[in-house]
Amino acid sequence: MLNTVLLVDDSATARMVIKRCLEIAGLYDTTFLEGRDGKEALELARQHKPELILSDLNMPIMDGASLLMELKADSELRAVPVVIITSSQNEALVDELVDVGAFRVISKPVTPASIADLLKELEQEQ
Amino acid sequence: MSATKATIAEAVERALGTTLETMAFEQAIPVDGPLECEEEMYWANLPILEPYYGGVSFITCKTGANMLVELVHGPPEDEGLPPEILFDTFAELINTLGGRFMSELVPDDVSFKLGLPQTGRSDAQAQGDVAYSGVFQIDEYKLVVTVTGAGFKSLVNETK
Repeated sequence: MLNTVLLVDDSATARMVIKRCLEIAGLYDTTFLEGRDGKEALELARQHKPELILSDLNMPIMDGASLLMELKADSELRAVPVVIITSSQNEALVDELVDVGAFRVISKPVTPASIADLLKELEQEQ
Repeated sequence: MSATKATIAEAVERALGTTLETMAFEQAIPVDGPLECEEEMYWANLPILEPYYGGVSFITCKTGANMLVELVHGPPEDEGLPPEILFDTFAELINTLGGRFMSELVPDDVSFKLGLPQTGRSDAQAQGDVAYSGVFQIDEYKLVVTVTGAGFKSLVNETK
């Protein structure tokens, strides 16, 4: 059971779709925080200490890769699993993000099934 | 080895189907005939930067655009849809459609790079070399998907 999940995307529609998938996958009682870019997300993460962060890759102000690096450099947040969501396909980039500490890199569109798999993996690893 | 996993038409059909099923819980059925519309048109475009330079776009009439947004977000609670929600929805739809289209088209070991979504309203037609244009029925409205760019056009010529 995840109490707090942070969703990061500059698109309100994308955040709504991801939230809907998480709810369908079983997170009915979770509190969802929403950030529009990496900088806003970092402030929310420091304030609320979410148990999972799902972030878009391409965003203005601070992108998902920079957010990931900031989170992994923060001693209080580095253990929080970060899932990067992207519409591009680039194996080298995926390897790079995983090397930096991304829990998973998943492709759009996010579906309830892909989120359910993700939550199962998360549970198994913890 | 083939340069692509599917034809452009197949890749568009699969990508649009996946995008609409997951985001709008709706099907897209390929149909014949032009998009006839007497009202304002709404469009979205996604530049594709690598490995082929070009773009994928869709266009529909105002009532079709409103219907699409309502399918994604649900009916508006009060006074209709704010334009920013419509354009935000269109941007996310084309972003997802473009990504799925390229995933369906290029082999899994080939990287691709996308630009930033653009949206607008007008009766503007797709610019540049049109490699593909298809009309789809979504609910009771039509939507036209177009793929442009010399790189994509050369793929069409290769498969002829």
